[in-house]
Amino acid sequence: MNPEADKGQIKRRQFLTRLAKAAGIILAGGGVTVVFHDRKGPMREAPDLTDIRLPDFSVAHQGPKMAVSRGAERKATLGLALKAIGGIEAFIKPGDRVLLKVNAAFASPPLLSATTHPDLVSELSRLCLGAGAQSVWVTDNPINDPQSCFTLTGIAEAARTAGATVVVPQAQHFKSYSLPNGRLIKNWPLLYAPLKKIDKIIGAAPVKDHHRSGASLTMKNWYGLLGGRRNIFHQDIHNIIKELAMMVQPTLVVLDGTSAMMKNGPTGGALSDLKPTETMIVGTDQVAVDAFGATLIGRTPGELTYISKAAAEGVGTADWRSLNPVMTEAG
Amino acid sequence: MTPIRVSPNISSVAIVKIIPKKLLQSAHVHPTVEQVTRSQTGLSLTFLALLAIVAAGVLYTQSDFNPAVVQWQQLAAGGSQEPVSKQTAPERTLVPLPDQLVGLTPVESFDAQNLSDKINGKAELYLSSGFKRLESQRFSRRGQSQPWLEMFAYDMDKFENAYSVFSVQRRENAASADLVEYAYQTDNALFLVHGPYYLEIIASEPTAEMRQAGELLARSFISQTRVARETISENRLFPEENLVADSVARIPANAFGLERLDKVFTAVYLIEGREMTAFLSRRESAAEASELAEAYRQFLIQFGGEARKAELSIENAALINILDSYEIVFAVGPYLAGVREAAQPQQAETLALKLYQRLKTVSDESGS
Repeated sequence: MNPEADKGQIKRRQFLTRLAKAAGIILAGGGVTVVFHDRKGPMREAPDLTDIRLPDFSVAHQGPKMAVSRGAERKATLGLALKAIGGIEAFIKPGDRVLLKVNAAFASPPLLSATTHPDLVSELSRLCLGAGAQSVWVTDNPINDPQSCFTLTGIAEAARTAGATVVVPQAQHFKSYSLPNGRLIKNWPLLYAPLKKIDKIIGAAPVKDHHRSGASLTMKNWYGLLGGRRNIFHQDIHNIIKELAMMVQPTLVVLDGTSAMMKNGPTGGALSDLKPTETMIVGTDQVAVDAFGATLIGRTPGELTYISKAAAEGVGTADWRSLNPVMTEAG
Repeated sequence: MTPIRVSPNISSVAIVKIIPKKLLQSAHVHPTVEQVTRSQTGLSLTFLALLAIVAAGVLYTQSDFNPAVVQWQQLAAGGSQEPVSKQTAPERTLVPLPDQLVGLTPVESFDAQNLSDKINGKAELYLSSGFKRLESQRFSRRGQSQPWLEMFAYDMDKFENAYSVFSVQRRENAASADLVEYAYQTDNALFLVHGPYYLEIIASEPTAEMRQAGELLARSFISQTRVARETISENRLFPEENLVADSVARIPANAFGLERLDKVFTAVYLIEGREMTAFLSRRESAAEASELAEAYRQFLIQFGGEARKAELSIENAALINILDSYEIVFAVGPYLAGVREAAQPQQAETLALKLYQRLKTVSDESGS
């Protein structure tokens, strides 16, 4: 017996026992975190095991194309730009079911250019139906009061008069989706019901300043296909836009820079936030279209991180000049 | 700390093997006697190795943390198109209405959790400026649904927060509105600060009738909402010469990309056809101002800026060449201040000197 131990001092055995207990507690704590760690993230209800895959909506033999048309009239500039890449008939075939993904994020009037302009919606719908499309659906998921958004933006009326149908998102339209190799879009509600019933998809977006991402263009426009509390993705805005671009391989994208929101985006609010940049951009390469569109609001493609990120993933090229876009003037 | 006494049958050599020297010293361990067995040493090392593995695992997982993938169940419970804002009875209106106006929609209210449902990506601007609550409602003239106008009443908690979101969004060449100290009007909209409230009234058409209706709504809001009378005194600290009218803005946080730089006022100057920005921020003490000025200087250097030698008439001022423009940063009294985006160093120095003299006078007068 060690006399010092009797004076309240520690023995070797006690020391090791205490060390073992402390280590055990720490390991048990670590083990508990491993047991409770949810690698997939929470699900809506039970895990949705449906293996949803979005098809490639692009027209294979078309390849990357882009055209730019200048002018103040959307109908004229859209027609010229489409003609430069082969006409709408090169992309929409008789019998196609077409989805027009617009930006109807806000219940704001068309003159503020915060949403896809109704003139563009009606003309695109008319052209698709003219090319023989079986149907044209128009949709977006504005989250807050979609009915007001479609109505007050003028999109509902424009679609209706052109013979298209507005799909107002309902709860049952969403399915849990994971982007292959995606980091953010995992088990996330996707506006899937219209997507599974179409042959072609066209994205139609306005050119806008965006407080968080720098610019809201065609790739950011796919944000409206997500449901849930997607605002959490604003914490990682460039990567979510990149993943959205990876998620959708569109038939065409149309970027409306007739009146660009230069600042205070994405909502704007004052007419003085706008500038008549009078440009319509049409293309099959959404990265190239956005790279060009950024210049309309005084930004370089390099300033918008998501453009280089999407290009690095092989979605398209940030070097829009390499596509030799046809430039035309309307009137 | 109670000294740890180790049993004499653990050798000092073994203790040193498993416990760092500093720890031994701090714990007042006084090893004595015999050698430990190899198995004891091995056991100890095993425990430590396991702990190291756990620590490494925690660090690895944490390094992969991304707030965007931290999904609460309710956040992922999407697809629901139930209104996410809280709506009240249609009878309620945001403000008492004049006879010619009626509420078109119920009052909607949004908090920090769902603000982005209403204004999407612009929510971050408000959230970083102290946002508490938004109430909005659409109105039209009695008997008409078109045109309409919408009022957004942002409760920003404090007057200076409301001024921040007002000033950073201020539209150039807009006409001042004779309603409150900080108010202006564009062709289709009216913007103002009233106490802690930032008010936007936006019309669907830019008509005189809608502008008049917007003014009526604003006056109604102002008259029914009692607030303390406050003003922004920093506006008067910027030199008037070459100052672009109504360009003073308050950045609440993360100014110029430096996280620590908050509560910064900026003003735009037009000198020889080129715009540049002066800035100032009153800190708690002169020492804090000096320390933050140095931190900002180092921040600029870190991101590619080059310090330039200059005979500046401002004590401890630094001249930095960055991105083909010149910046000056200095501290005077409790103020951190400087000039950004000047095309020529002389232009930066001229403006910085005027700002310095102004701030020095104020500091001396106040005895700061």
